[in-house]
Amino acid sequence: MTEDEDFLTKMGNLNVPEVNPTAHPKMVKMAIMSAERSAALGFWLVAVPCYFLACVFMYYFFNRQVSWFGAMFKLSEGLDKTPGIDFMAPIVLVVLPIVCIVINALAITHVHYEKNPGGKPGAKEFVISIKLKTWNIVLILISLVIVFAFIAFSMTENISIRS
Amino acid sequence: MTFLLKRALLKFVCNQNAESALWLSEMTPEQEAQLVQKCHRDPAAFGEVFDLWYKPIFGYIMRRTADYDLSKDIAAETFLKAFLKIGGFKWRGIRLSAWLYRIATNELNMYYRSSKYQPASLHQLLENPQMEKLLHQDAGEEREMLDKELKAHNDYNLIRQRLLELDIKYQEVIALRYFEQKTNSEISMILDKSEGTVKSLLSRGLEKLRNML
Repeated sequence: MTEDEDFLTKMGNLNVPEVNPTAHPKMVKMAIMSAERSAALGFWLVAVPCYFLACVFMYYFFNRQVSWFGAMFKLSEGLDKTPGIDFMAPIVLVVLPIVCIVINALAITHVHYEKNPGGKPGAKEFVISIKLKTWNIVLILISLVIVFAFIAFSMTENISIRS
Repeated sequence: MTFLLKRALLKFVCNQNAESALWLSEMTPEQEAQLVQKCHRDPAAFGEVFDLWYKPIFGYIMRRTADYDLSKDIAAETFLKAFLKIGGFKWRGIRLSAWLYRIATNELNMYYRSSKYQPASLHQLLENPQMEKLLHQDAGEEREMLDKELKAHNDYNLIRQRLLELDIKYQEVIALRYFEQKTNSEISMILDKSEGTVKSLLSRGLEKLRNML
């Protein structure tokens, strides 16, 4: 038998380790199977507020009405002029950006309680961490600007009406 | 009479075991195509893909890296990518199992080519603290058991270490052929290379490996 054949036989009969994981595949499976749901949720958390804010921006600054959003604004104008349900429009205009702030803040904030932090016995810590995700932070800031602009607008309008 | 009955029973049990073993290790292309279609209709059906191929794929990664934590990450990345991409998987001659091995091989290649390798999709999943907790949960004695199993095979360890000194193109064919017992046609499907190329890579790779030992 030549050296080459000998080596090939050795490789062919190579005894390899039997890898048979028993515990961790269940955990990996659970994480993977819920991945799509989190990814979809993450998409909507960003996409819906983005679309809403883009429409608000275009409506107020360029006076452009984007399909259903323009119709929604017309409807809210109509509601504003109807006695009894005139409170709906400001609620929609303030509540939606606030919802946007809340969902984006929840997406980047992580709160957890820690017992004996750093090995100190008896110590308790409440840890709040904020992930620096650009998109979420930008959306929160834009929503805050809209809410504050709306509040400032309502206050100045009330003052001017009274005076 | 009793003898005949015993023989018939034994034959039946053997056939049953053979059938279940066949189901676990090798599905027919038609069965795989049906499973893919099922996954297209209902993402939850991917659970079946996971149950069938997680262990062989994890085994392949573990036998190449000999690192439990790294293998866990690469295997999770492989299946996460497969889960997210299975909607776009079209039946063009490549078997589902070969597709999974291909994803795992690409991940391994990325790991061996870059010292800063990070499983990108898995990294996104790990941003969720609950997922991180779940994926990095202690799996009890599994790590020690697998490490012990790897260390018990001296010839394999020697060959694996020498293999790492070869070019990646040789590493992947030799590992698939001799660690995973894949045929040349299976390797050609996994690596998307012709059988002739696989044969020549194997022959040159083995020659280089023999000279190193």
